[in-house]
Amino acid sequence: MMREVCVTGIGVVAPIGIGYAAFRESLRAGRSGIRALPRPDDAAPLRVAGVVDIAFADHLAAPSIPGLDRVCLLARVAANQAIADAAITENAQWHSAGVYVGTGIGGVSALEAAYEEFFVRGGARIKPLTVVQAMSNAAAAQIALEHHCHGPVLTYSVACSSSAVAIGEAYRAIRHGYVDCVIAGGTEALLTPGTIRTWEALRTLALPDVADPAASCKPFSKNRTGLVLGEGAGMVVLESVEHARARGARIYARLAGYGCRTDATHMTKPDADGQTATMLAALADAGLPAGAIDYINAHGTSTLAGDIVETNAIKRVFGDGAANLPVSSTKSMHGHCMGATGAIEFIAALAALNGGFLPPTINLSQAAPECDLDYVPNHAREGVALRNVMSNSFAFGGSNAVLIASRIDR
Amino acid sequence: MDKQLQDEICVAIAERFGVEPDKLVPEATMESLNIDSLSMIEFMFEMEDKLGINLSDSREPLKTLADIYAEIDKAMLVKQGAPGA
Repeated sequence: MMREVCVTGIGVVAPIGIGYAAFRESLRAGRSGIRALPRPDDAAPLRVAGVVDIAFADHLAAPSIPGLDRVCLLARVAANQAIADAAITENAQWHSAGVYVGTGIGGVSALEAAYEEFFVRGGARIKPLTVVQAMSNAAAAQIALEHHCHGPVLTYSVACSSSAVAIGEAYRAIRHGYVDCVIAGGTEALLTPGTIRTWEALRTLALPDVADPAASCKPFSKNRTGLVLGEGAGMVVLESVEHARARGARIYARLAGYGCRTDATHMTKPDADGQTATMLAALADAGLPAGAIDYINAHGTSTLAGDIVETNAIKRVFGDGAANLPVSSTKSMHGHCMGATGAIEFIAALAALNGGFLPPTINLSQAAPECDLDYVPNHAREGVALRNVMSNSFAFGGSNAVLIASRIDR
Repeated sequence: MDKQLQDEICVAIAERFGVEPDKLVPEATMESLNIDSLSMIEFMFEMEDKLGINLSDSREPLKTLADIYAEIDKAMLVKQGAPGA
């Protein structure tokens, strides 16, 4: 028998807020967490990113901090929040919990520091813990270690879909009875000088808005120029509904559906067929007709091609209903948090579902002619009753993941 | 090892691992201080930078605070060019 899966805890460390409450308020206020990065000198070009302002010592015990890459620290803070929020008590049952984490690139700060020492300074002072800081599964393992989770502890690296896949696969593992409870989400901390340059080389980053750096990410807008990198982590506690009810847990929502499909057409060019198939797969999994979806948190990266392709795919899935379906890209506020972005945006969709509001797409004064949906421009809409929400993630490599959350009957 | 250097090491351990300074007696084991071997390797690496020394490439685990003093002492002697070191 298939089990129902629900969300009982939320943790988020994003450029627009540390903690679910702060994050939700920023979504409501349409606040941007994107800003100009410090420049080494005046000749250096202006660069923008979604940056998390955090003093880890305020959130984590001091001894663990020096041994961890930023990608693990962000994940640890978000996981701690989610577990505290779920009011978990550690017992034998909890010890069989799993940890499913998505990350695009893992501990790249540690790796970059080691390479700099070796290649630039010609030195041999490579930090002894570089390997265990940089390995992609470090964040998941650190969470398991801290919270004594002995179930499956897995890492998914699927570029921009990483954490949507992690949440989706965790949902399946619970649904099919392999595990009762999972901390699932994603983390990314790629704002290192070398990594930013590799992204610039791909020519897919937004040209910074010189007049207002915070407004550099302009999804669906006529004057959009590309994506804005961001960092962060988002974690949710997922449980079987049975497990959650047995321990009297507060339930945020039911994770009702997950679709996971692949374009297999191009490494970077998004494909409307693949995206359509993924949204349909999620709807079928949830057993919902397209008309039951009341809000989509779009992938909406603000790239020239991506926003048009997603708009077209949504029209194909939702038909005539697409015109009246609110679709927003919260990346306009927090940027593209890569391996963390699917989780952060799923949490934004949960905030909408629970708070009865629609997060806006900011920086949208004039939509591109090919982008003609209701993108909830510039201001959140309050007092909206939502039943089911969808969160889209479409990755480089063509791997797509779509999650659907539903209000739970209390 | 001179007292000043010992104090310096103790302060560094206390700060890095959040250990009560009065627990840092020479016979205290790393296990009793809840400091694992990986963290200790990283700590010793930092001490090398701080003191400008090269620790030996020994694979012998450092079990007690006295072991750490001895290991650092050995490297300090090499640094100072002591005879027989």
